[in-house]
Amino acid sequence: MENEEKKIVPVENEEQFDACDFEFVHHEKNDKIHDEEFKTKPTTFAKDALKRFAKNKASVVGAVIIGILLIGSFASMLSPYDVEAVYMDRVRLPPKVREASNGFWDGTVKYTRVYDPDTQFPVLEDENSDDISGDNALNADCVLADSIWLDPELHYYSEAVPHGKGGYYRLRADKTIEDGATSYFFNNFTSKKVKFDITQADDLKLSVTFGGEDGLFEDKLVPVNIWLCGLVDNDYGANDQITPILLGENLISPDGNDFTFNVDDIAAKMAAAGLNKIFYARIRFEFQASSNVSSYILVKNVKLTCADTSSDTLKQRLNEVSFDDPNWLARYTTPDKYTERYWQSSAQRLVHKVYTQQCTFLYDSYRDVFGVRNAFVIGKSILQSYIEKGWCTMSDFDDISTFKLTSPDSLDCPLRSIESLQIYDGVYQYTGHVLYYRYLDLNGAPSYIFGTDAKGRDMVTLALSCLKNSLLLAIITSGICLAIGLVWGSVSGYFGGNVDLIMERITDILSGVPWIVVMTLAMLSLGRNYLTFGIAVCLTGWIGTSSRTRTQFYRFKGREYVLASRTLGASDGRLIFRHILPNGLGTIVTGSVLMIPSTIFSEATLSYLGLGLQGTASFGVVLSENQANLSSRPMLVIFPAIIVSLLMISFNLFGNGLRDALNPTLKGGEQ
Amino acid sequence: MGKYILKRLALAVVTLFIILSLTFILIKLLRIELPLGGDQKAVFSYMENQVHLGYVESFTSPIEGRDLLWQYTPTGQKNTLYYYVTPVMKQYIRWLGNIVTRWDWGTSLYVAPNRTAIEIIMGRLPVSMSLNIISVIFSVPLGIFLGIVAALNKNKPVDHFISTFVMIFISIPSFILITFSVWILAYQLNWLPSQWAKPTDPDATKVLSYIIPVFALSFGSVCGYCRFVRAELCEVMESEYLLLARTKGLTKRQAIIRHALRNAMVPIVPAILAEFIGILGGSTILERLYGIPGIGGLFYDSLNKKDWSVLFVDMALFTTISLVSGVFLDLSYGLIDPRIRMGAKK
Repeated sequence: MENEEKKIVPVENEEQFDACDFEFVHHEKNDKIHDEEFKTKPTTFAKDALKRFAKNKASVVGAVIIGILLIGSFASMLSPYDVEAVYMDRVRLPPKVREASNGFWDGTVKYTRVYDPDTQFPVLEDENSDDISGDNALNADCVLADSIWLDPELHYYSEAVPHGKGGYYRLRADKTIEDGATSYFFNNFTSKKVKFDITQADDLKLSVTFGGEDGLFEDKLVPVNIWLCGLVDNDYGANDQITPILLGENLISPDGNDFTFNVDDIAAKMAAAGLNKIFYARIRFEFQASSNVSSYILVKNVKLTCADTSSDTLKQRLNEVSFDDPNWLARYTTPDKYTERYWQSSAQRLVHKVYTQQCTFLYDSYRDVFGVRNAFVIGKSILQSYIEKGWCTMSDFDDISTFKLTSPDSLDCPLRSIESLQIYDGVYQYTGHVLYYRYLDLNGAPSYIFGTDAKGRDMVTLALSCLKNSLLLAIITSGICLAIGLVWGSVSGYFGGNVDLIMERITDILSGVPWIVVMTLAMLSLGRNYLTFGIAVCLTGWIGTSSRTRTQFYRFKGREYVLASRTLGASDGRLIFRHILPNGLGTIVTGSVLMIPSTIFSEATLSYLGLGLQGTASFGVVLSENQANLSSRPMLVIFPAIIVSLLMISFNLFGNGLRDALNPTLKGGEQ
Repeated sequence: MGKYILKRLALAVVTLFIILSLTFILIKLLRIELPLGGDQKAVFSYMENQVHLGYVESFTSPIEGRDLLWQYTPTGQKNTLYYYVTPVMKQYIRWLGNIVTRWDWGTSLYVAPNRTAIEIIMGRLPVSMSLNIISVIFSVPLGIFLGIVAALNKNKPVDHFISTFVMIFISIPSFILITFSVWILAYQLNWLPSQWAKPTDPDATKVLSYIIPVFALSFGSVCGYCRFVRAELCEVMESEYLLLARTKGLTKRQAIIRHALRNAMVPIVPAILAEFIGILGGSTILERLYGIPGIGGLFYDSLNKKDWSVLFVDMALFTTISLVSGVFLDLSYGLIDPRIRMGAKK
């Protein structure tokens, strides 16, 4: 230590300073210095936290999004669409924002169907169609005609398909005939019984075209014989044995590939055989191949004609056995009850190179559901109500021709025209064209921004009301858990010692039971609704809060200000509520806030797995119900998924910002 | 140290016992649901099964004071059989006895009829294990690397991009992620199989079918590690010994590798262990959606089908794993960071 005394020389005048090296400036030399008022205002904990929160832009964004979602979810209660009801008449409508034009967000669905070149229109009757409006076939009015696009690639089939065109009928050799040393393969192609009437007919002609393709088949079946066989006198004869007439034999094609030939004088041959009357016969082709079994022949058409002077019945009968559409032949399974096929051959009914052309087109689903519906049944009382409203008139209820619209140009009247009337037990049923949205008493067809789900509920309303339910549940359970956890944790943390030990062990055991088991037990015993879920969450959810509270209490319990307060005689309650708790509240509240998205998430997961809520509108249920429609109606899954993800992201951002904001040690950290 | 380990393990065993017993009793207190439909023969065979398993007792005359579950007169016989639920305590003692003496956890009724529960679990364990190990191998390096990159470029665009990316993927629920990845990759683009490969599929399919599950499982982990490593490394970068290292003259790279990284990695190891355990149990949705025969799906299957034997084995497995891993976690803290000794007295 220095023993020297430093002398303090008072400065008398300013000139002494001029000799110094430094430049000093007097400051407040002559002022009297008093305590001054603070220039900045005192700030409370909340204001300080808010300032820190606002600095973190991401958290502000998160908070804003949460606010929007909250308002939106409660606004869903104002929606005109009811979420509880099921509307089966408008299931799975696509999203619509604008009128049907080019397929983007306009309520149209893209379909692929077989194209019919004769009608220049896709074939709409299809067993596999989407059953939108309750009819099995699509409605031709709702197809947007200028959106039909033909797929240039033709699809070829080897078995008959609906609406196939072109191609050949394919015959296989499948029987083996042993003729001495050689064996050959063989098949018959036999028509149904035709009633020949040669007393009248004269000019009977048979022409057949067999087609072939180079290099396609191993061996060609060769048409050997053509018979007129199975002659019987009457309709019911079963035998086909009486002398068959050979119409042609050993038919060889001139160029080896296509066989076209005519049998001209059938009538003459029949007369030569001594048949001058009406009889029944079949036409039979025999084919033969010498080598292996995988040989085929393709039949393009068979025509049986007679002279123009013959009777119409004969012409019609002959027409029935003629065919030039192999696909039709292969599909045709006969209308008559004796189930005799028109042309029989053994084995399958095969075709070769029958093609279909696909086309895709846009289909206006909204018009299908809400537009004019044909074959709609209306009762008499409803018709009378329309008459009362002045939209139409009907002088005689039994005569449908007296039905008239008062103003055919306006669309007020739902019933546009009546097709027929049936009366059952005095109940009148009028069938006609009904404009469906007027039938529902609406002024225009509704348009759903994100479509409807499998139960006809509007997607936007559904998602937002799920959100409302989830948020309510999560906030309430979070609050309850906060209350319980706070009490438990503070008691355990403040008193310490044995009390703490016992409470900790209890908490350990409770947290050791897998949460999923608790949830499932609750669901199984108490039923599957939101209340049960809330109870199950509250059963173990407070553990996290209580352990955080306990940690905070241990941190602040030993501080000097607490000791000072206790020295002054503060009671336990005062210490807890006035000193320790306010310091620790930040982390505790943040943890509680972050519990909300995790509750929502676990509820969604559980419902998705089928273990949680059933039937009620909740995210997991909605997502799992619409999971199967992911490829055809992706919007139904995307929209709720986006809402859930947005909620979780914004809660996380908000929670992050809250954590920083409520941490008093960060005060003044960043300028 | 040894005493501490033994104490923890003993405590874990006791906790396991209490948890299993609690769950057993609570589940057994649930009502037995008879099969739906009026087919008496089906109900009769169901009842006989339950008697065989010991859950229900049958008597030839009614007993006073107990609730009758069901009664049935087999066709052509005169005596009626009365079924009562076996008392829960009796079932409990029998179950405990089976486990302790014969290691017999029961036979499964619905999940895989007539196979013992242990067999079922052992059959499904390898798949889950292999998936978990592969996804840990994949996710740990990637997550740590991303975290390091983000922390080193703090507040630059790279950091913002990685943080946003991580934030988004942590928040999106896993089943949505899995649904969309299956939809896009398997259905739209047809690059990957949309279901788990069966044993009869070619090897290429088997390998490809690992990709989506590993991707789905590791996604959450990667994001978690990245966030964690970034936070730790940022905190370490502010510390004073790093400043000293730089002042000493080490280059930034040397300072980070030799000092910062090692200190930041300390809390990672427990986190890795925790994730590993968590994945084992948390891949249920994935297994459901993708058709993987694993133990996560087994839990929900047995819960839905009310096959209690399998459920208890599954629960015992999960609880044991989590408790033992808890012990290892605490121990590893002490091993890695010498400043921490859990449970140490002052």
